[in-house]
Amino acid sequence: MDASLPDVITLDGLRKVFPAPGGGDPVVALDGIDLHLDAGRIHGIVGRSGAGKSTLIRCLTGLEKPTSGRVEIDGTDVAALDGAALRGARRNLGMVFQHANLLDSRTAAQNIAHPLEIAGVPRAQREARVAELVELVGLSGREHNHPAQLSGGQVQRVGIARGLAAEPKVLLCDEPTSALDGGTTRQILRLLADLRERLGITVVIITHEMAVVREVCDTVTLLQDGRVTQTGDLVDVAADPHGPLSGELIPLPPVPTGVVGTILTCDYGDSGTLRTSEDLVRAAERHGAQAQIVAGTIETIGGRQVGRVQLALRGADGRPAGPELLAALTAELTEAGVVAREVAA
Amino acid sequence: MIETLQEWAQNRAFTEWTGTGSLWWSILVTLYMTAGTMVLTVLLGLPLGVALFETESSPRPAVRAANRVVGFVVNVLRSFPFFILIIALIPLSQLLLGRSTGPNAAMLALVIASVPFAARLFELNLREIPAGKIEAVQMMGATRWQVIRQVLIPEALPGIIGSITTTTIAVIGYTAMAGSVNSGGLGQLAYNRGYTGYQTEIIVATVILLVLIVIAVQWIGSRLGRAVDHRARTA
Repeated sequence: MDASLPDVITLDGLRKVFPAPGGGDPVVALDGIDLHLDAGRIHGIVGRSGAGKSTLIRCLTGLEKPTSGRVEIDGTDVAALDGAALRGARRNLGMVFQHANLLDSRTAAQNIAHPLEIAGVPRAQREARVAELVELVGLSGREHNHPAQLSGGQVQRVGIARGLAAEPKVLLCDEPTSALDGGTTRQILRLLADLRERLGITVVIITHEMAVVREVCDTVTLLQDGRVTQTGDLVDVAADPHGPLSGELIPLPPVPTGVVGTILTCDYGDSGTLRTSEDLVRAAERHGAQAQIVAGTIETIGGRQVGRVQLALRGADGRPAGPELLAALTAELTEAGVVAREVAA
Repeated sequence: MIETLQEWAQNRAFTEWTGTGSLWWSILVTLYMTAGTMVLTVLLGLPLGVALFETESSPRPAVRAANRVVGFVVNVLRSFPFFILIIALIPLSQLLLGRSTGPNAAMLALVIASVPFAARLFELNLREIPAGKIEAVQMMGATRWQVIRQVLIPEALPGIIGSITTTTIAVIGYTAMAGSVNSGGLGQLAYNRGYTGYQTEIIVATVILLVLIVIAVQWIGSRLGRAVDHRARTA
């Protein structure tokens, strides 16, 4: 991470334990989370359902008190606040929800103005700010419609504008695109990236969709069973073949059936010498094997090519490559910085 | 047929304008009792419904205990047959109003019966608001009072208007029973003159009028409810 950027969110040993409803073992939702998210970037937090994402959001917004640990947002420990101080601190954090959670009784403009109303901003200033936000998120002409009269993408634009209204330091997005179709998802993600550029705001996106992370995030953090199991810049995480996330960030299509040969999965993003999949094929041929690329994914993330291919290897006799050949080739590839694993048939 | 109608039209209930024997006066008394009861029911029942909703899962045990106690009282009052309630309340109206008959004495019983009824309906209306919408506003830094004023009431308003309509219609039915304490109104007229006095024309006229009043209340309620409803229409 860039050391020049200050942290805007710091989690320090964050734990949240819920007492079991039936008096059994308590449920550990967050099991000691340490996390530093720096200002002005888009951070992705991913995890399966039950990994602790929702609890993390509720702790960040102060809706849930942590069992122990610190939740610092822009230098304030939210976990230690109550009452009016907590309500004030919440204004540093804009929230965007999966289903937007707009009020049906208010028009788009009235929904956007809501955080300002709560903060006691005078009407004239409120109206000026709303006009600005409507323009910013591309909703001009629809601001007097009620949410029911807007499309899913427009509703989420209102949700984002509302999240930004009180000029928070952080925009926290909880599954912002999970209810949207592919095209709308891309528009919303582009909007978030654009807002970061224009406003310099820190964006935290909590999602289970790897595509979202690939498309807009600068950093990614994996949450598993209430712990952070991997965190870092997207480029580094995607290129790290040993980490749990690279496989999900760069998924492989299934190997076609009927392929003869020993299947070897090769991640070559880290290698200095083997830069393309052809390099891998040639390396296999130098060992006297016939190599065929049967599946592969190549992505450019942050200007760096990251690739993963599966090779079907056969010996000179046309039968699946034997253990000696495989061991020799794997050794050479490992030497060159490629991570190679045999796939069990 | 025509002769019967002409004969009916001669009934004093139709020709006199005032007094408990007049149909027209009785309509006004029924409308007065219903309107007065409903104003008090909304003023008392809506805060009670909000209180029941807000305190149900309070983190403070004392607040939760109070919720259970009030909820129990509400249930007891709701399970009282209205006819029994109005008679049981005669001493109370004697004490508070100095008399146990007339529309105002009846309204005491009507309010005590309809407030718990309406409060439970309002509580249900509030429950239909998705929790995420309330939390979204809490996350903006809203106080509890701001949440009530800016989220709970406006978001539940279409349902609340429906509940007020339903309660109003129930109260119109109760006012008829209030005739038993000489409240006046259409119910008493129908019972005293129509049923006890064998004047069929009065029974027919009061039934038709009550049906028309109920239809009108429902029509107004539905129109108002639709006017404030901005939720998506789901097929």
